[in-house]
Amino acid sequence: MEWIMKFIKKSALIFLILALWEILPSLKIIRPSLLPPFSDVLITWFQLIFLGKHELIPDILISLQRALLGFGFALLIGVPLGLLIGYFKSFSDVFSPLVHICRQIPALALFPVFILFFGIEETSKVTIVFWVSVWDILLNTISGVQHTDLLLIKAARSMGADTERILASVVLPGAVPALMTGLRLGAGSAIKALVAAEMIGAKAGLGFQVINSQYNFQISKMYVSILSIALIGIILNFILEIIEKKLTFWKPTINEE
Amino acid sequence: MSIGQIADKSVKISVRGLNKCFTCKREKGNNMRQFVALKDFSLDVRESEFLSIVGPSGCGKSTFLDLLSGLAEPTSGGIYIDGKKVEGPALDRGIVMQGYALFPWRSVRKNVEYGLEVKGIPKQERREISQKFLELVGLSEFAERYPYELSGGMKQRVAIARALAYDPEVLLMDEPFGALDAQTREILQDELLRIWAATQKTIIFVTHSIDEAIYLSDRVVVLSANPGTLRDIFPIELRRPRDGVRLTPDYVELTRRIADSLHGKTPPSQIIHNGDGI
Repeated sequence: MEWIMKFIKKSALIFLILALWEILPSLKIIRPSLLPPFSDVLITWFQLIFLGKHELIPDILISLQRALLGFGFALLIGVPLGLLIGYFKSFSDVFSPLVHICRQIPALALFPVFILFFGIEETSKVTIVFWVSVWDILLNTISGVQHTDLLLIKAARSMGADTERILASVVLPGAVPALMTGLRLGAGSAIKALVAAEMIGAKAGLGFQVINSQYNFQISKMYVSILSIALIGIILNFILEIIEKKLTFWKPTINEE
Repeated sequence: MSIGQIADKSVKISVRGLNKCFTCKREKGNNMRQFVALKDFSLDVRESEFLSIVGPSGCGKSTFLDLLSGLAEPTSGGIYIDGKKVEGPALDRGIVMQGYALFPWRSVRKNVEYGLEVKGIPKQERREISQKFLELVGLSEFAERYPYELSGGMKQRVAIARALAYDPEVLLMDEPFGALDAQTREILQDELLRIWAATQKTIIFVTHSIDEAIYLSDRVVVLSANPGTLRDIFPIELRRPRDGVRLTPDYVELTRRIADSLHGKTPPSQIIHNGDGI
């Protein structure tokens, strides 16, 4: 019973808004040509994914591929680099100024540059996803490393652990909570930047479909694309939250009920 | 020969003319200031001896342990364990700190096995060793728990088991029971004495508590601060086991004498420094 109450409490506002979305266009209070009833959007969603030519599937796949590739590269570069910058002062001295300049450059301002260099194909989109998410991952990893408990490092050193072992067995696990925060922030900004990039310069992808549907006045399809983007973001965040819980179970939380 | 040195053949640790200075920058301007944490510190510790160090804050107790553990380097002088100079941390010394310093993402067993992993001992053997030491500290039932599930006293037992597991000859303890409540503290003191008797380790134990130092030790070293120097050494010739010894007149007298020394009410022992450091 308790979880039912909890579910009602948590979802009440969402259902209210969906109900308004259904009722207001149906009663013509909002023009259905601008905002079709929610049920119409749901039906279109179903048709685009499961029926006919499965029109939306390639767009979803290509967006996912771009997001995961860019995010994956950001992870591969951001975490090791963050460990080094956070742990070794000499690395920090060399890299920190550059990092702080680069992270201030808005990704979308660089998108024309990426297109110039990498063309309008996949590389420029993957690069923009990489660019936005790598800073969140890098900076949070650095911060996690710098907040490592010095006592733990001292204990490890006293047991004869060398620098490599300390990085792998003390610093990295200790930085995991901050690192996971970085991953979730990075995933969020990655999707946002990707969609914007697809709207500006792409021939496929969910962002492209949002703008393309609007041009062609396929309004239901436009909403379907928007909702699909939101859903991907929610699922990604959900997966990362599960991983985070698995990896940081040892950290006492203050959010217990 | 200075009071810190003993003519015994069974010397385990000998500390010779140890100096440790830190250079502090002043807030304004760039003129450097030297802070002397330890000055002309010499001391011998016997094999299997339980030696406690007490002293006011800033007397260099923790600095001394850092030097002993090899985590810091002396400005001059040296520390020799079995005649071999200490150069960096090694597994012949185990450390137990006040803050426990357990790895929160490792289970109790995995914490105890950390030093064994560093040593490259295969898994099966690691498990046998960790099991043995978890039993020694009475925590074998908690092997798969994590530090956040343990009380302070239990955490410190894990830390002790971890430091003992890779079989160091010397155990360095930096106010290990300082954060515990009085009752847990006394229980752990008795446990430590039992473990010491069972393992025959040489133990150097830093504490704020005169009572704790007397109760545990063969000798109590009193340091004075600014600069940190050796002030007095008190042999504790109370009977062992020490249960109930706290009520004896000898114990009370020792407490008074060490307190007087600590608070600077008695003149310090004459310490002679000989140039060749023997």
